[in-house]
Amino acid sequence: MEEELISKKELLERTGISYGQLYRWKRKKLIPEEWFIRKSTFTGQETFFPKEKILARIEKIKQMKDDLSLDELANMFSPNPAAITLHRDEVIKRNIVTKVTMQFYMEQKGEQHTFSFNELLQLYILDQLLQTGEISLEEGKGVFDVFEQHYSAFQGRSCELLFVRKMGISICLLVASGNDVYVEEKAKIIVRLHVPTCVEQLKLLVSEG
Amino acid sequence: MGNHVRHLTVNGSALTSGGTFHKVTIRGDATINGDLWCDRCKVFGNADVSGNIEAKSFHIFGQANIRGNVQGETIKLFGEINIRGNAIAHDFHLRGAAHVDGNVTGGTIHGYGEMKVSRDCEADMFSVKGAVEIGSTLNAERVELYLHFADSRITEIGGKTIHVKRSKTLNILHFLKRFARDSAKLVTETIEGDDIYLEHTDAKIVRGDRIIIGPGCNIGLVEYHTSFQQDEKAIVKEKRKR
Repeated sequence: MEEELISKKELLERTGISYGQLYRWKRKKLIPEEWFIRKSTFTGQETFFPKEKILARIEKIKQMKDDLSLDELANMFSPNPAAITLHRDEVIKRNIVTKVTMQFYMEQKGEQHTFSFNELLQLYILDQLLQTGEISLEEGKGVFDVFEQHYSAFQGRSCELLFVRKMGISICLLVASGNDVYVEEKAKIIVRLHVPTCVEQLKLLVSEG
Repeated sequence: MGNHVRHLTVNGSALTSGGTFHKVTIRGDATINGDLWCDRCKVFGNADVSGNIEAKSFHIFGQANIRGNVQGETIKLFGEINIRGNAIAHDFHLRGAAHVDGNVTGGTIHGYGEMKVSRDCEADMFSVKGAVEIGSTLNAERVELYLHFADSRITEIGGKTIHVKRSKTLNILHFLKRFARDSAKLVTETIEGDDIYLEHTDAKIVRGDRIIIGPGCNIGLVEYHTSFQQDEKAIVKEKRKR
């Protein structure tokens, strides 16, 4: 996956931010370290960024920085879970997760009234996958299982959720981000979901209420 | 850290294991095997710690070697510290020499002496008089560097305000040539910031909004946005307005 890159100079010109701001945001972890890609050019070392991601991120920071402090923003962008719980009715009412997914969750894990962020994340991810029609409800169990047992192992590092299917049998995997994954000929990667992106989206949804 | 009543006091020489304490006081020489958590840690003398230290306040009068990470609200150093891991502190007060093999993250890092960091150094405020070596990036809202005694080497500096000056006291101590080579300068690849003032700095690239290049500088390329000034005793090979 070759991403289009943008140089630091070009980035500052396009977004109108200053070096001071860029470094401050980096320091406050609003922009992840791994986006700073160093390459040597004919003028010496230059820093590049993944173009789409950084432009979207800076746009978002610029929009929200008047309402939120930098620390609050950093929390929103960090892959760590937010410290919140939501009630079931509210989750449905605010359309964070559809009823079908919620019901399925209850069937699997029993009745539950309040949800922690990690539980919401599972719900949210499954909901996304179901809505795109990429996986079936039955396969959704795998998402819960793998999250329940292994998500904590990543502890703030970013990871990806993979769904591999071969001859109708599917396997759900959690993989550390940025790794290449190759599968055998007949198998197919049906879903590749960047978990921190979901965390970010969910945090936005949750905080908007 | 609540009311842990246990204290660890070493008078003389001791070898002990780590643990959770209220106060840790070492007068003399101590070797601590394991991690140490405490509210206050004071070292008068010498301490070797094989694990991590987490202390609200960590004062060293003397010498400390730490194999792991150091985390504290305030670290005050009068003497020398060697940290193999990372150092995190809200307030880092330097009087002496600090050598860190990992990263340094701090709110305020200030003082004088020698500071060597093998990787990154991040702070809101970085104000050090003396010699600074940073292997990777120094990133601070405000960087104040007073060059003194020996050359400073920082691969990359980024921030809002960046001031590099040669310390005034150098002139007064001029007769002490043994200690003070009259060439205390900063050697760096890149400096990027909004307000930049440099003296006695060798840099390949300086980029920023308002840039003043003072005496003794040797800069390959300056890219400025709003304003640019150059001292007559400075060399700037190329400058561009963008």
